[in-house]
Amino acid sequence: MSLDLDHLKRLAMLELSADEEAEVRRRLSKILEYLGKLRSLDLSGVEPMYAAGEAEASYRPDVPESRDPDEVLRVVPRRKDRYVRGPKMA
Amino acid sequence: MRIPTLWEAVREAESDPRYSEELAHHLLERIRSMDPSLNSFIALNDAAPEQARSLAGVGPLHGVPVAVKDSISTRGLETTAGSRILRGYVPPYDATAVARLRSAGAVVLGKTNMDEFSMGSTGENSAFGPTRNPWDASRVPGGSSSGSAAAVAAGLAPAALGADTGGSVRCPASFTGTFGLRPSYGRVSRYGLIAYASSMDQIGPIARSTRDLAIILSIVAGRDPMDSTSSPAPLQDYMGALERDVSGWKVAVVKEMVGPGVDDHVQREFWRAVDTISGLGVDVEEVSLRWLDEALASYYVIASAEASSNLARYDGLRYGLSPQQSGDWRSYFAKVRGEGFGREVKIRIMLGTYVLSAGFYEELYLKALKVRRLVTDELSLALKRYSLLLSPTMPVLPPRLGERTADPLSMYMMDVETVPASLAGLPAISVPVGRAAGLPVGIQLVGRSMDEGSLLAMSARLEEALGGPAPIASPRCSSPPSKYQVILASLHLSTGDKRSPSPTGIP
Repeated sequence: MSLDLDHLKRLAMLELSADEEAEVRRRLSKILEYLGKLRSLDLSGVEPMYAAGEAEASYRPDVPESRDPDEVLRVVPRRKDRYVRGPKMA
Repeated sequence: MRIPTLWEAVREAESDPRYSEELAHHLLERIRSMDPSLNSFIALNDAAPEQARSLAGVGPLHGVPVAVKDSISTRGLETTAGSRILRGYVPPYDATAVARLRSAGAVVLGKTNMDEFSMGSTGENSAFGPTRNPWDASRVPGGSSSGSAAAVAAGLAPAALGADTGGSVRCPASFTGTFGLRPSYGRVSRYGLIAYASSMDQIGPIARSTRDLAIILSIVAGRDPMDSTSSPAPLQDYMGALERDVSGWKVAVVKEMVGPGVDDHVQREFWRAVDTISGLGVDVEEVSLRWLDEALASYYVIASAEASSNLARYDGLRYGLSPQQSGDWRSYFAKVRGEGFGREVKIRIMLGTYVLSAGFYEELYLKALKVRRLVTDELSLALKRYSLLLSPTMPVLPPRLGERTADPLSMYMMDVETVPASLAGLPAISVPVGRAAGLPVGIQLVGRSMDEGSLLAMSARLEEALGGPAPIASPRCSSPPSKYQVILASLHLSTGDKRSPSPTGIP
């Protein structure tokens, strides 16, 4: 199976060091080789199963929760007042 | 002080209002002296004794302390899922399972070590260093709920919450000689559980007796408006199930799960347990399943796909790790994620990204979902004829540290017995049935959806026949750590990855 790591890194937004990249490539190739057993199966007519339980969607009432915003925002590492601080847009 | 089971602790606490406080105090001391060699806790709640005192009159648990896997959110106690990327994250809310335990009078003793984001079957893939098996410190305790199982086995907590995606409760329960229950998908709310593969994740208890599992399940199970996948199906009487007679039941051993590839020691202990079950008047037959081989491949495709999507949220902005910001959004996110995730997590994110990407979606992801359907249909059909399906929980004895992680496939293969129930959303339990070469062996029972009661009934009868609750681990002294282990241990010390327990009180 072809393995375009640069493409995958972009899609996954993941930086890898040169050492890591070699290791990830080695392991991933081995895993994909194993998963290849799925390709040869003829499963036409079988319905894919996305979730167990097949629970029907149910909604709860759309009521705001009384939670202190400052308490919630305490987990944000860099903020200004009630804003989350992020890096510059490109 | 004698280390009680959860049930014993609750009974003591009912009659002695000081008991839970003393127990919490004693366990914290015990953890401080014993845990440096096991590494089962990554955060301790120093306020546990005080909280236990204030809950003395609150039933049914009366202040008895329990441990909680670090992927389950605890208000006021750091929650990292074993990852560097969540370091410093203190949730402003409790997971529903934790909130229900607290309302029932439980105290959270601490957070337990785990494979990062539950990705691992050995307990070695943690940013806080590997957990060790209390029966033999040169071996792994199993994962991903490694710390929960090791802590219970070592008598550092009467019981613990774990979480199981592909076997993360059952595997460490089996490797540490404890009882572990994976409830049916939807039986326990996932609200506040840090997601790995949302279509399979379930919170479940680990303890030293079946009764303890039933106590915890009775408290945490049930519909939760905060998790739309939690089931409205009525709860069973789990405590009542413990008294049920199993004679006349029809169960089946899954032939392919005891065949080649399963360690001889494990097979021997497994068949001995099957004899014990027959001795209870149970009719044991054999059933053959066609899709087991493909089930493992299907599981790794689906779990990685869901993980790659779930872990997209870690951006270094809203919580956890947040290095100096430089460059644009894209390069910042890639850098944070590169620094914050461990190797196994990176591999599964890449794998998941691959199987969901154009060109591979149909031939891998969709195929995996179709295999999932076939596995589920096959299991459901077998469970129409039989109340339970039997197999070893793990195909091998607990491996030595480093033995399985060098080759990813050799670790994935260990999950071959546990993933079918996960794919199908069925409940499953691991019951400790004996030891081979001093190492624990567990038997797995898989039941019908929402029928945890039958699992508990059979587990209780088996436990009774085998002499009662599981013992606290007594380490084998015969095998000192190898040179490799010593080097490994020193590496973890020198990288400074192991934190000292953080003394965080719960507001």
